[in-house]
Amino acid sequence: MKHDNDEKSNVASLGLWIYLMTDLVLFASLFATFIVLRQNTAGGPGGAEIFNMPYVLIETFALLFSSLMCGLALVTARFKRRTAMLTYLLLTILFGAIFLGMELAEFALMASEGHSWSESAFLSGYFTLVGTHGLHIAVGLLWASILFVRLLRRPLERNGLRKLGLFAIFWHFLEIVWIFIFSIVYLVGGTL
Amino acid sequence: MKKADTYTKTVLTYCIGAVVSSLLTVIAYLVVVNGVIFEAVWVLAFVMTLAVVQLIAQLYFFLHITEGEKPRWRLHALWFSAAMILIIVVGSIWIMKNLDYNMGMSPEQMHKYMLEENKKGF
Repeated sequence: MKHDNDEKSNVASLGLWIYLMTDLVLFASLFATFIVLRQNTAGGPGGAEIFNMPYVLIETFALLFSSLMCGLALVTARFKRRTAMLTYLLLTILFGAIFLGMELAEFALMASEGHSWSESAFLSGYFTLVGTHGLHIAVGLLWASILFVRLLRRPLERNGLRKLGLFAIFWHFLEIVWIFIFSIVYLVGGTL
Repeated sequence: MKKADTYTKTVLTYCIGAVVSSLLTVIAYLVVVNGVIFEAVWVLAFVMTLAVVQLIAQLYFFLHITEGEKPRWRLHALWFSAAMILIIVVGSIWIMKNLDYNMGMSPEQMHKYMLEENKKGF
């Protein structure tokens, strides 16, 4: 019985991983699009004029912290510390929500200043790439919230642990994609 | 997960991963924002190097990519995607740069032309 469960868990996590690899290719094509269209500002602002760098740094740390909390939730779950696990999962959702809120506020500010996706090819590429990542984060937050309710209502068993493990892979993956958005879009795109 | 792994040790692994990631992020941020490096190519090379180091750190500390039984399917799939990504990204940049070079108009002429087209509306 235990063996069956382990195998189920391995197959599920490999399946999720294969999906994430295809997702990575999707992000790669959006990165390629952004890089190619980067200089085409059509008389509008470039990255250096509209990016608020300290703000983006705080955003980055919110997501990194959320990723760390998610990892700790998984560790505490493995060691049967249910209360700690629930706390860490709640912090994961909280910091993820802070990240998403900050990103949406940033988008809204740009749009209100007239710099929306329709202004230039550069901004189209920017909003598509960063927006797709934001959409993944939103789906992840929904996933984590449903998971939290489930884990809150049931004692910690193998199935719960497996589901939490799958979410953790997804969440760490999104943090890794953000490293490249932060580096390429904001650091390089915001200064050159 | 091996039985010998203790709770503290595993928690520590995640914390080390977070500290390493924070340091790399802050270093890249400070160097670029303060304009320590002037040449565009070197800024790109520096930032990308730190990003790849952080990628490896997170794969190791957060996703434990090197753990588990062989064959390591996850790692194989990752290598395959890395190859695809390289083809898509490097290929796109290369082709578009060539297209730009082979176009009749210079970038300045093209820019002027696009602005005039823009004024006409859609």
